[in-house]
Amino acid sequence: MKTYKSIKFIILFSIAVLMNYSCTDKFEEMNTKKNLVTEDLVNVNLILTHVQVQAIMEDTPSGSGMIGEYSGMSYSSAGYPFQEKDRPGVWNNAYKKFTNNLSEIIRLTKDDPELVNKKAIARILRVWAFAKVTDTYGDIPYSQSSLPPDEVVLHPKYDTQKSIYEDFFKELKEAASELDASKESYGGADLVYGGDVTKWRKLANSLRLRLALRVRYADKQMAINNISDLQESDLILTREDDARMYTLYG
Amino acid sequence: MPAWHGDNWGPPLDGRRVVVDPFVFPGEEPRTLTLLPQDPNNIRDFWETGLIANNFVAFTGGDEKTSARLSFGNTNIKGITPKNKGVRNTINLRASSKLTNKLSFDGKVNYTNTKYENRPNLGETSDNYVYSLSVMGRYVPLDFLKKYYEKTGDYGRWPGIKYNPYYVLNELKNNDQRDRIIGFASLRYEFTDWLNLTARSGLDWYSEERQKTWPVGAKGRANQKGRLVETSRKVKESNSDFLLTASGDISSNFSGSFSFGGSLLKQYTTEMSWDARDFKAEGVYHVSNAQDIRPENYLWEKEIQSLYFMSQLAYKNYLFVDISGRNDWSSTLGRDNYSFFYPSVSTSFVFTDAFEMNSNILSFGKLRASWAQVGNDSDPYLTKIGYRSYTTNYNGHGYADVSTRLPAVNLKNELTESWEVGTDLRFFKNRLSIDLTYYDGATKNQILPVQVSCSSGYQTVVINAGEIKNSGLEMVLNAGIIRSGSGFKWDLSFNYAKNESKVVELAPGIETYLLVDSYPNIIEARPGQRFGNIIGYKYKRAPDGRRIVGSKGSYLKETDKSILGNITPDWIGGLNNSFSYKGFFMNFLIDFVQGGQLTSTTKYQMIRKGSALITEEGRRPRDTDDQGNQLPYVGVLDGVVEITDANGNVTGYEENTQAVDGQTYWATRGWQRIGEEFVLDASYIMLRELIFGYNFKPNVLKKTPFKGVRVSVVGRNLFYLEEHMQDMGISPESAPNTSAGARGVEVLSMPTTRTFGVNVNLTF
Repeated sequence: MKTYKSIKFIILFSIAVLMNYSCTDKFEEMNTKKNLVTEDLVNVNLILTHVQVQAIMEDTPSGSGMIGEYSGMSYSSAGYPFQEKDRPGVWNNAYKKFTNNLSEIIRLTKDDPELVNKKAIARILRVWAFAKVTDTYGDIPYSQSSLPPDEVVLHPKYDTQKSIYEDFFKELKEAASELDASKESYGGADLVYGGDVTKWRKLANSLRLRLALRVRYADKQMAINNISDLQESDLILTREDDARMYTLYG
Repeated sequence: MPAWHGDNWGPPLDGRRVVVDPFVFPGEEPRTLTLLPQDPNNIRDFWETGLIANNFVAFTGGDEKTSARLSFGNTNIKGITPKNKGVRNTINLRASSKLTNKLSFDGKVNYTNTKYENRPNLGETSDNYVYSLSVMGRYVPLDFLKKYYEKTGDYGRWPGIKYNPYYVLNELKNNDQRDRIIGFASLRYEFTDWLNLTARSGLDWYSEERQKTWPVGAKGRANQKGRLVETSRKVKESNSDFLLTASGDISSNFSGSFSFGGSLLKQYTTEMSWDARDFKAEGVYHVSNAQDIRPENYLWEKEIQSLYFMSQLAYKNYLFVDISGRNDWSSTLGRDNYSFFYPSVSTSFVFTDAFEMNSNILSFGKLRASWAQVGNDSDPYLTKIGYRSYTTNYNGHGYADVSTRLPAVNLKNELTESWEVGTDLRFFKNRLSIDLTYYDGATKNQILPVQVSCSSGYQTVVINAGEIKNSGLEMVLNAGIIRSGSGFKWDLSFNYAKNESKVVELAPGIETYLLVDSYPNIIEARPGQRFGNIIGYKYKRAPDGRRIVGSKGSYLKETDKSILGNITPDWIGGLNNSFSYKGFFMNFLIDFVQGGQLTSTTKYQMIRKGSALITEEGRRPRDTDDQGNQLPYVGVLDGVVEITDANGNVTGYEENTQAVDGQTYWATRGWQRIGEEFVLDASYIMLRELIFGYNFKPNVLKKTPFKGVRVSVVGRNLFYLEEHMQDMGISPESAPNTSAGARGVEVLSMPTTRTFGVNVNLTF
C-alpha cells in the first residue's frame, strides 16, 4: 500500500512538473520588449517631428557651431586655438539620428501612393541632411547606408562626392515632382511648413539651386544642367516661404 | 582670466607672485592674494575616517527531528565623505525537520534591509569631487570654498575648479534603500534506501527605491532649475526544481548513482522612474513640484526550462566516471532555437588506492580529467527590431525613432566546450598537498551586441558567432610547516592562477568588439589578439625606440591607434600564513597580481592640469631672477627631432635640445591624446589582511556565562609592497566594477580604504 502511494506521488508530481514544461508558446511574447512599436503600428509623423527637432533645433556639432566647423577652428579651453582635432559631430549626428530615420520613413511610405507626400518630404530632408555630411567630409557612405535589416551593409562603401551630388539632384527633382496637394501630408507634425507641399516643392527646388551653386567650381556642367532645369520652377522668394522652425517661445 | 590660469603651470608658489584675489565673498572689496601652496594634507583632510560597526547574534535550537537557527545582524557604515552613511539589518531563519521517517523538510528565509545616503558620484563628471580635487590648483584654499558655500549657498565660480566640492557634498544628494528576501523550501521523500525525490522552490526578491536630487541653481542645463530622479525597481528570480536520485551498490566492486531532474527559472525585473525637472517651489523635492516630468518604465523578463540527468559509476572507490547531460529551453533565443543540449564526462582515479601504495612520502594521489560543454543563453530582447516612442514632445507633437540595434532574429545559444586535467597529491601524511589543474576551452557563437560604424544606419549589431579561447593553470599548495611539541603551529597556503584569453574570431565583417569606451584609451577585443587590449595612440618613435619631439618641443604621436597593453594579469596569487601558539593566533594574507595594465583617466587629467607630482620634472625652479628678469626654460624632453631634406622626407634624427615650459613638457601629451602615457602597470603585491587574536581557554571562562570568547584585531588592505600608480592617489584596484574590461579602466576613482577592526565573538 505504501509503495503504491509513493508511486502515485511520483506520477502526480512529475505530471505537475511536466505541465510546466510542455510550453514554450509564450516565449515569443515574453521576449518582445513591451515598449517596442512594430512596423505596422508606427506613425511616421512622429519620426519626422523628431528628426526635425534634432536636426534643425538641437544640432550644434561639438559646441563650436557650424562657423567653427567650416573654418576648421575649434576653441579649446587650454587657450590654444587652431588645434588639430577629430570632429565627428556632423557625421555622428547625421547617421545616428537623421539619415537613418528619414530612410526609414521613405521605406515605410514608398508602397502606398496615398503617402507620396510623406515620402517626398522625407527625401528632401534626407538630401539636406546628407549634404551637410558630404560637404564636411567629402566622400561618404551613401548608397549603402541605412538599409533595412535584411539588406544591411555593416561596412558601407564610400561613394564619391560626385555620384552623391548626382543623386541629390535626382532625388530633389523627383521629390519636387511627386508632391501632390490632393494627397495626405504631415500637417502640424511637420514643424517647418505644416505639411504644405507647395512650400516643400519650393524648398526642394531652392535646395537644388543651392547645391548646384556649390558644385559650380567642381563640376561646372552639373551646375549648369541643374540651374537651367530650375528656370521654370518655383523657388523660395519671400520670407513666408523660408524653411524655419520656431522655438516654443516664439 | 582663461581657465588655464587655474592650472598648475605658473611660476613656483614661492610667495613672489601676487594676483587679484579671486577668493572673495560677494560684495567684498577687491584685494590681492599672494600665491602660496596650501597645507600639503588639505586634500587628504577633505576625507574623513569611515567607521563600520557590525553586530551579529545567532540562536540555535532543536531536537533529534527538528533544528532551527535564527540570527540577526546589524551593520552601520559611516563613509569616508561627510554625509555618506549606510545601515544594513538582516534576519535569517533556517529550519529543517524530519516530518515522518520518509519525508523531511528544509527551509530558509533571509530578510535584508539596506539604506544608504549620499553615495559619492563616480566617473568623469564634475559631480565627482575627486575630479575637482585631483585637478585644482595647489594654491586653492579649500577652507575658503567651504566657507563660501556655507555663507552663500552657491557653488561659486573660480578658474580651474570644476565644481566646489563642498557644494556637491551638501547639495547634490542621493539615497537608496532595498528590501530583499531570499528563501527556499525543499521537501525530500525517501522511497527506499536507494531512491529519493527532492522538490525545491527558491525565491530571491528585492524591491529598491533610489532618489537623486539637484537643488535649483545646480550646475548643468538639465539640473539648473532643480531636478529629482526617482527610481523604483523590483527584481524577482524564482527557481523551482525536482531531482529523483537512485544510488547504491551494483555489485561488490561497483557502486553508482543516477539522478534525473528538471528546473524552471524565471527572472523578472521591472523599473519605473521619473526624471522630474524645473521646480515650481524651490526646495520641495517631489514629482508634483516639477514642470518637466519624463517617466520611464522598463521590464526585463526571461525564463529557462531545463531537464537534466547526472550519473556516477564508481569502481572500488578509486575509479570514478561521471556523465551528465542537460537540455535547456530559453525564452531569449530565436523562435526555432529555444532548445539546446549540453553534456559532460569526467573521470578521476585515486592511484594510491588502486595500487595500494601505502607510501610514507606520497599519502594520497589522484588524477582527474574531464570534458564538458556548457550552453548559455542571452539577455532578452535581442531578436526583434522596431521603433521607440518618447514621452517627450515638441509643442504637443510626439517623437519616435527607429531602433539602432540590428537584431539577431534566429539567435542561437552560446556554447563553451572545455577540457581539464588535474591532480591532487598529498605527501607526508597530508602535511603537504598540491592540487594542479590545467584547462583549455573555447566559447563559440558568442552573443554580443557589438558597436558598428553608424554610417551603416545602425549603432550596434547583435552578433551570434565568433570564438574566444580560454586556457589556464591553477595551483593550490598547502603546507603544515611547523607542528612543535609546545603547541606552535605554522600553516602556509599558496594559490596561483594564470588565465589566457584569446579572441579567435568575431563575426564576419566585425573587426572589433568595444568592451569599455573611455578616454584617452579604450578597451576592446579583436580577432587574433588577447581579450581586453588597451587601444590608443603611442608615442611616435625613431627606429631606435626613442620618442620623437616635434617643432614645438613637445612629443608627437603615431597617426594610427595600436595596442598599448592588456588588462589581463599574467598571473594572480595569494599567500596565506597562519600561526598559532596556545590561545594566540595570527594570520596574514598577501595578494599578488603580476602583469597587466590599466588606463588611467586620473593621470590624463592630472597631467593636463599639472597637479600630478611627476609633473615637477622639467620645470624651472624659478621663473624670474631677483631683478624680475625671465629665466630660461629648463624642460628638455628626452627624445630626438627629425632631420628632413628639402622635400620633407626624414633623413635622420638628432638629439632634442629645445627647452620648453612645463605645460608644453607635460600637458601636450594629454591634449594630443598620447594614450601610451596614461597606461600604467597594474601589477601589485598587497598585504591584504593581518589578524591577531586570542582564544580564551574554557577553564578561564568557568565563572562567566560564556562558553567561548575569541578576541581579535583585523587589518585589511593594509599596504602595497609593490604598485606603480606614480603617487597620484589612486590604486591598481580602484577600477569601477568587475564587468568584462572595466578592471582595466581607472576613472577619477575614490580613494581605496584601509580597514582596521576589532572582533569579539562570544558563545553562550
